[in-house]
Amino acid sequence: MNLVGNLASVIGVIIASVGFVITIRNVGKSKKAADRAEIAANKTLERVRYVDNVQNLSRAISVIEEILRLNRTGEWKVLLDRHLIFRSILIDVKRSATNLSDDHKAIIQDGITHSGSISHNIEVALDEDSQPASIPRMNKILSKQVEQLRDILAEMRMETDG
Amino acid sequence: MAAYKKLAHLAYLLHQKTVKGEIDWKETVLNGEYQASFSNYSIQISLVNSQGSPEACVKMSVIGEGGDEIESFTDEDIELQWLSEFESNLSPYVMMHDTYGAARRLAVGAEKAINQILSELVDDVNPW
Repeated sequence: MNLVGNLASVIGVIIASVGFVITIRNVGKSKKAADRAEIAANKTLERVRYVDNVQNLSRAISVIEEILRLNRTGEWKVLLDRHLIFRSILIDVKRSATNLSDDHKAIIQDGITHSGSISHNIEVALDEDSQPASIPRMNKILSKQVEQLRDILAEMRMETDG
Repeated sequence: MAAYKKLAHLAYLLHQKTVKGEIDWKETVLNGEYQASFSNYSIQISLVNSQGSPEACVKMSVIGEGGDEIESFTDEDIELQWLSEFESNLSPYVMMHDTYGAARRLAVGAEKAINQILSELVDDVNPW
C-alpha cells in the first residue's frame, strides 16, 4: 500500500514537472507572438505615417504651385494664408518623417525659411502700402523649391513602393 | 557677452566652411541676401548700414524652425570677442565680409563657373 502511495507521488511530481515545462514553453511562445504582433503594429504605424508624409509633401507642392499663380495676380492677403499653410505642412513633415536625411531636412528648412521671408516681405509691403519684392525673383526661388521638394517626394514614393 | 562668444564661434566656422565651398548658400527674395539651411535652422547673411562707420557691416541672422528670425549679429557685435577667442589673422570685419563675398559667389553660381573656366584654361595651356 505504501509502495503504491510512493509511486503515485513520484508520478504526480513527474506530471507536475512536465506540465510546468509545457506552461513555461507556452508562456515563451505567447511572449514571442506578442512581440511579433507589436513589431508588426509598429511597422504598420510607421508605414501609415510614411504615407501621410508623402501625401503632405504632395499637398505642400500643390500649395506652392498655387502661390506661384497667386504671385502673378498679386493677391497678397490670400498669399499670406497660403504661405502659412505651406510652412505648417513642411514643419509637420520634418517633425514626423524621422527617417529623412539631414540633406532632405535642410531642403525642407530652406522652403520654410524662404516662405517666412517672403511672408514678412509681403506683410511689410502691405503695412507700408508698397509693392513686395520682385515677383519674378520670388517665383524663381519658389520654383527651385518645388523642384527640390519633388525630388524628395519621388524618393519617398520609391521607398513606399519598395 | 557669453552669447556673443558663441556667435563669434558660429561666424568663424561659417567662414571656414564657406571659403572651402562646403556650405550650400542660396539667393533669397531680397537682393543681396543669401541663406544656407541646416536640418532645423537657417542662416541668412546680408549687408546692413553700420552704426559707427560709413561702410556697411555684415549681418548674420539665425532663422528658426518656423521661419522666423531668432537671433542676429553683425561683425561689430562680435568685435570684442574676437582676438581673445580665435587664432585668426582676420578681423571680424574682414572675415564676415569675406564670408559674404564667398556666399554670394556660391549662391549665384559664380564660384562654379570660375572653377570650370579655370580648369578648361589650364587644360588648354597644358593639353597633355
